[in-house]
Amino acid sequence: MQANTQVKTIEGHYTGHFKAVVTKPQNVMVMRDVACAGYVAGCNTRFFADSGGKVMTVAAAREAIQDRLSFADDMTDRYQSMLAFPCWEDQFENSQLDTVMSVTGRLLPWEVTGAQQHASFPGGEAMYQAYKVKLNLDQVHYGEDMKAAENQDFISQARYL
Amino acid sequence: MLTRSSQIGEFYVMAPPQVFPGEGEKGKFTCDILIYDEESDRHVRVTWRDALKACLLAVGANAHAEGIAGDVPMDGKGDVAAWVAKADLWATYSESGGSKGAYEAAAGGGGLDVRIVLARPFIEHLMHNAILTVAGRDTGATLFGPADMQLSVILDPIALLPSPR
Repeated sequence: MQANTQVKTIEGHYTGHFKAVVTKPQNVMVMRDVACAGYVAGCNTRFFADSGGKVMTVAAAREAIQDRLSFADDMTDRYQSMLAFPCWEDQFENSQLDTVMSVTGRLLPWEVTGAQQHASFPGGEAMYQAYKVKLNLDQVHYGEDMKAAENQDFISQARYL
Repeated sequence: MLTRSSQIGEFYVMAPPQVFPGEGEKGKFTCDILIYDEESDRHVRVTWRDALKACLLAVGANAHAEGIAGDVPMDGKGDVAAWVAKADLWATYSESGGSKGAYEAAAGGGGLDVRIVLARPFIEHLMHNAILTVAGRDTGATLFGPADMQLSVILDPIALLPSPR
C-alpha cells in the first residue's frame, strides 16, 4: 500500500492467481508422455533377488524392491529392475497371461469381477499368494498419492526443459 | 513443457527350444534371452539358469531355503516341483548343449511348455507432456453483425425486421 497525499489517494497493489477453465473440452487435447526427458530407474537387467555375484535370496529381493520404490540409495542411485516367475505355456494359450499382468495387490480390470483372482500372474492365484508373502508385494503401492495418481498430476508444471 | 514422472512395466517370456537345435554345442544358450539394458545402452544376455535362480524356489538344483514351496499349485501342467524338474533339465541343456536324448528328456512330459516370465515392473522416466488447443475460428467463432442495428416492428406483414440506421 502507498499513499499519494497530494491527491488524497491510497494506492494498493495486488497479485491474482488465475486458472483457465476449459468449457469446450473438444477444443483441447492432452498429449501425455510425448517425449522422454530423462531416465530415472527400472530398466536394467539386474535381478532384485541378486545379493551380489548372482547369489539370489528372498531377503535380498524383498529389500531391493523396497529400496527401489523409496529411492533409498541416493548416493549411487543404482537399483535392480527384474523379477522372475515360473509358469506354463498353458497360461498364455488360455489368454490369462497375454499382454498384461499385475504383480501388486491390485487386480486387472477384467479380474475384478468374478472370482477376483490374479489369473494373469505367472502360475496363477496360488503363486501370487506365495510370492506376495515372500516379496512383500503389497508394499508396491505404499505411500502412493492416490489423488495425484487419479488426477494424473504433473510433478513440475509449466516448466521449460 | 509439462513434465511428470511416468512409470510403466513390461515382461518377457523365456522358452526352451521348441525343435531340436542339433547335436552337441548347437543346443547351448538356446534357452537364454537378450534384453535391452537402458543404463548400459546394450543388449544383455540373461541365462535360463540365472532366471531360474531368480524365481526363488525352494526345490530343485538351485533351491532357496526361504523360497516358494514345491507343492504350490500352478495354473497349467502341475505344481512348482513338476515345473522345476523340467526347468533344471533345460538349464543344464542350455549351459552345455547335448545329445538328442538329453533334449528329449527335457522336452518330454510337457517339458516344452516350461516358461519363465521376466518382469521389469518399475521402469520410470521423466516424460514431457503437451496440451494442444485449436485456434482461430476452430474454437467456434462468435460472429457479430453491424453494431448500429436497430429493430423495428411492422405490424402489417406481421414480421420483425432489422434495418440499418
